Amino acid sequence: MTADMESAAQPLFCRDADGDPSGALARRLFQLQTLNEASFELSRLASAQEIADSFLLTAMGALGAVQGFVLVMTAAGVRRALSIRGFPEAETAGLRDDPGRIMQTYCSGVKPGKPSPPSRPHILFAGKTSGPMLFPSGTVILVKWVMDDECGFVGLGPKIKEAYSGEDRDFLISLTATFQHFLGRAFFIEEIHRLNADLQSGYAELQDSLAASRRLGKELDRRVYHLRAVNDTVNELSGLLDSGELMQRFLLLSMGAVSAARGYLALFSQPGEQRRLVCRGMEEAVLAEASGSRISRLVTRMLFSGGQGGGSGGLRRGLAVDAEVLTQAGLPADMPGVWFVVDDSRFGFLGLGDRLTPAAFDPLECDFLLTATGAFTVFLRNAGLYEEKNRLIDNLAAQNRELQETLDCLTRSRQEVDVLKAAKQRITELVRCEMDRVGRVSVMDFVLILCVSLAIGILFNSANPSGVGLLPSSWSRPAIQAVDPSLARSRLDQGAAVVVDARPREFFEMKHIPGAVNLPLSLFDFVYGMEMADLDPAREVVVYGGNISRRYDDDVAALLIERGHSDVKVLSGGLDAWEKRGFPVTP
Amino acid sequence: MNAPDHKTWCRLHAWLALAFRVYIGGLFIYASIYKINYPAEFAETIASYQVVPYFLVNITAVVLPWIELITGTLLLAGIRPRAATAILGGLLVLFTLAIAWVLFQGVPIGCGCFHTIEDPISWKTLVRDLAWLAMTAYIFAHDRLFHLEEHFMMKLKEL
Repeated sequence: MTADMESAAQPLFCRDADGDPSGALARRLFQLQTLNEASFELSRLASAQEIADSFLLTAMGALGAVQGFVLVMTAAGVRRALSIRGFPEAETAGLRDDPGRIMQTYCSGVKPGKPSPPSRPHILFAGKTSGPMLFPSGTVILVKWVMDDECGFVGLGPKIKEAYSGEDRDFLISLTATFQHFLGRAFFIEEIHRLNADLQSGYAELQDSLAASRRLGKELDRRVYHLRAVNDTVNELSGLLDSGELMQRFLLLSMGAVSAARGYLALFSQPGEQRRLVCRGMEEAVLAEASGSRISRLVTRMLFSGGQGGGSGGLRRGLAVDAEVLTQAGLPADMPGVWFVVDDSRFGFLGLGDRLTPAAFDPLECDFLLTATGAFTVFLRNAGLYEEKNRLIDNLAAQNRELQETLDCLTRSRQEVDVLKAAKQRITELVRCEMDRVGRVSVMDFVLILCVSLAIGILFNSANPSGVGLLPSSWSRPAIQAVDPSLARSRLDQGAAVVVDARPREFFEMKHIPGAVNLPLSLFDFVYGMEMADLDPAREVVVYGGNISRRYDDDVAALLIERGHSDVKVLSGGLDAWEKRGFPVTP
Repeated sequence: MNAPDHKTWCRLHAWLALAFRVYIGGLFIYASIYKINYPAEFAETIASYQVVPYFLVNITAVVLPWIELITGTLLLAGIRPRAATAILGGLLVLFTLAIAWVLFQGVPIGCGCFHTIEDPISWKTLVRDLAWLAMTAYIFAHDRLFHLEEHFMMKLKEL
């Protein structure tokens, strides 16, 4: 393309060589060509710095300057492009280091965010200047322009051969205008690139955000699932009041939540080291070494070590996943789980093994286990309280029964006491009565003593070999015929009868019927043999001698009849009746 | 020398009554032993007084010694002592009357108080019986010591 342009320019330049003796036209053409080439060259460049470099080279080349610079700044004093050629290093310090001061000095009307009226490129000064200057001291011509909030300077040093002509100035202005144009384009391109880059970065960010939101969504789903699982667990556990069933259900739910094939739940009570164990998918013998004291040590260590989810923050439960820790506590090393404290005296461990994923519990599972265990401990406490309440009610009922029995017993005892009191009262009265009687003489005592004597006397007499008959013997034999004293006297006087005095000898000697034979009862056999053995049994015998206490006459008469005397009679009225009739007695 | 006061007199009476009680009680127990063993002889004794009807003689001979034994024992032990004293007093009155009657009648029999064979009843016998009767009256009036029954009742009352 460049070649085409050169071929097109060549004939024009050559054709008019003669018609342009001052070379003005040729210079003019050269300048135009330069402008054209510069335009072409600059159009290929995108960066402001490249454009500035290329422009400076083109301008210095075209004008024959050995020194030059290009400075483009924004209103805020930020340098956008700077290209320096041929100036010593020391003179360009102001350009490099202090664009703000240049801005303040030469473009005080340009403020950031407040676009000033644009000024086309114009010559600020041309020729040598005296006095201090912010630009390099070799600067001979300086072009300035303002566009929007940008301000630019183009400075050139002296030409090699001559001073800058008016054409040179116009050319420089034109070239600067072209540069300004392309610089603006470059700015636009840069802006577009920047915007594009921004757009791309925004897109990338958007993609990232999208991915992040997807992740968050998944996380949220998992969290929702987890929360639902926790909720379900809490709901399911909340209805249970039996601690054994509660433990079973909690173990099942925990195993389900973390996809474990084996699991156990051990609950220990401090006093007496009581242990309650629930196992799923494993034998209880595996936990033979897990004693209450060892688990207690584990729990105490965990509580004070503040491990994962440990005792910090009032939580009295936590994870125990370290195989060494589990082995020390006598628990299976391949079954990590959750330790928990139910209350002051109860604590336990939930172990889970053979999970689908061999990895450790993820945070959600940990969270679930800790939350569910927390709920479980609360429900276990409630169940414990419920069971305690039931136990207390049972105790109360039993105590009530005992109380009732005691009351019944007391009532019975009271009745007995009443009866005993009555008996005591009665006995006391009897005693008092008897005491009174001791001092008195009662008829009852006489009767009693007489009756007792009578009974004992009769009994003793019946057993006594020398006892006597209680009734008179005369009552048990036929009555003996009696004879009137008068008749008896006549019979005696006739000598037809024998008189027998049956009284004892003392009485006979005191008084008796004359001629009577004394025949006392106690000496009957002896006297009868002496005095009456010869007597005719058929002879009449009259017996007398009875008194109030003894029927001697009757008894002796009976004995005589026994001896064979057929005519025995008793003197009627005895000796008294005899005497009353005035019959004789001796002495 | 001050005269003994009422209390001392009472104690003196009580101790004297106790001595009489032991004497009379022992006397009647002693008197009953022989009569219990030989009722037939005692029946003859009773009959000789001619006071008891013939159909009551034997039963009296059987029962009377037992009355003497039981009342003598009760008096000695202090069980119903006043009733026992009264019965003994009554018996002594009967005996004294019987003796007086025999003396009045002049029946030549022995007393029969202790044994069958004794000296015939005399005024001495009557005086002796009267002395015993006076002792009995004294017991009835003053006896209050060592009553077994009272002791027993006191124990019961303490319960």
